[in-house]
Amino acid sequence: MKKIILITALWCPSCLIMRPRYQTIVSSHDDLTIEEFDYDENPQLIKEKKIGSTLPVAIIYDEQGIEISRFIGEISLKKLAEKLEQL
Amino acid sequence: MKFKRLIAIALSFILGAGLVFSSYSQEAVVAHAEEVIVYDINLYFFSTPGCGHCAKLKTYLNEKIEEMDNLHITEFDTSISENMDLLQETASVFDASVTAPFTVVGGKYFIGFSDSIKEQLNRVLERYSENEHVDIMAKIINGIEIEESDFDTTSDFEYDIPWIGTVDVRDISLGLLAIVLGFLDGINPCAMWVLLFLITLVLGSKSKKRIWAIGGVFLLTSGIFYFLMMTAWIETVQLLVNYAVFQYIVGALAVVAGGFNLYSFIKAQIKKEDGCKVTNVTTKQKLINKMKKIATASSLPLALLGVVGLAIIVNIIELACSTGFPFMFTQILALNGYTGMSAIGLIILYVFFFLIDDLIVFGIAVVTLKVSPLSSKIGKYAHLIGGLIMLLIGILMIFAPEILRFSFI
Repeated sequence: MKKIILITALWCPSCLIMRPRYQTIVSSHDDLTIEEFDYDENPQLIKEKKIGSTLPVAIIYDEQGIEISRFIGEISLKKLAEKLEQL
Repeated sequence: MKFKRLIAIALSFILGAGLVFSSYSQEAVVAHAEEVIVYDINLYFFSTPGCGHCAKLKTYLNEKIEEMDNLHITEFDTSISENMDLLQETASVFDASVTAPFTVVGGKYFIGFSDSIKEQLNRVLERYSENEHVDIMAKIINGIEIEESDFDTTSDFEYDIPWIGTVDVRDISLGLLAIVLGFLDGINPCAMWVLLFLITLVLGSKSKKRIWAIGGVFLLTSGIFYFLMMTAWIETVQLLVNYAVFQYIVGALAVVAGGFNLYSFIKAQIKKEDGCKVTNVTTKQKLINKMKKIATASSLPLALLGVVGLAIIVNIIELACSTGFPFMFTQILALNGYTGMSAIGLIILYVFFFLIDDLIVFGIAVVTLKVSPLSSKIGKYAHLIGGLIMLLIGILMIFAPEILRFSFI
């Protein structure tokens, strides 16, 4: 099962925009799960995952837990679906 | 002049006023073609030896007298006591201060000399050449009683527009500028998150009364703070606005601010990442903690007091983020002679459009009980448009400030 790690922050309006889009994508894919982490509350994770200076960040992992893609910032639902289909 | 007019028209188009301005120009041309009678004009001015502005006024009047056969100029040297007495009497007639240079033409008076006064004098002289007018100074000299109707209260920036009526071109131009700059300043994404987060926290209470109170007080305080800050700034600026050095400094700052906005846009375009920038995280954390306390406060008055403090802090942070839009706008107001009470309406218009995106987000939240943020793409393009306008204003302020006085028609 593929997994999305979503990094968001309370102060980030783009995160509010993207959260429901990722949830929509996940609800339409049986083989996809999502886990959300707060940027400010998880400094260790942020360092480990080398999160840059733009939020939100979605890291996509394959069934083996290997990172296969990373989406940064705001992306339309249509583009998001297309990108995930290509993976 | 053609070049300046081109710049003026380009600016007016950018500000959305191109159509209005071009129709004014046509009006003016028609009026010239119809007028045949040229009226004599007597202009009087009081000067003091060694006064720099008096010397500049004299240079200007010498040029004018070369151009206009119908212009007759009388100078009063205030170092002669009789002339000083006459100045005092004249100033009291106009209820003005006793300062040199003091110019009287028809039913109008002007104190000091600047580019703005020069343009106003040009307009008055043009209007008096084409229209009969009262010579108040002649009445004062001859001891004739001055009547209320002798004073010329016509604005030299007013035009008759078919179907609309009389409009002041500066009101329209500055009003449009207030809308454009206020809106661009407002959609700057720096402080929007605070309102969004506050609404998110308050939505949990499911109490519309609490949402109205907290959101409303936050926006009202933001508006009042911005208004007071701009009003205080215009009071400072009006003392300095006629100094060329001050205009150069403000113009240079506008160029830098415009460049910074364009840099932000280009950077975002290159990175192709439309999202939230991770900056000032510690400050944001402090604000978040403060907001959590406000939202969970059991006493509503206490929570509202916290909201007032929060709004002030956020708007101070926002000021650094606005890269000078409110200061630039008040500077332009002062350049046009809009200070004190006359500036208040335009500042309120600016503040309203500054808050309009917040009002929309707040309105949607109250009705739907959902938070609907604006995309960061809007902020990105605000950087582009705002940067270009700021750059243009900065360049004009340095090289052609008369265009920013909206008196180029």
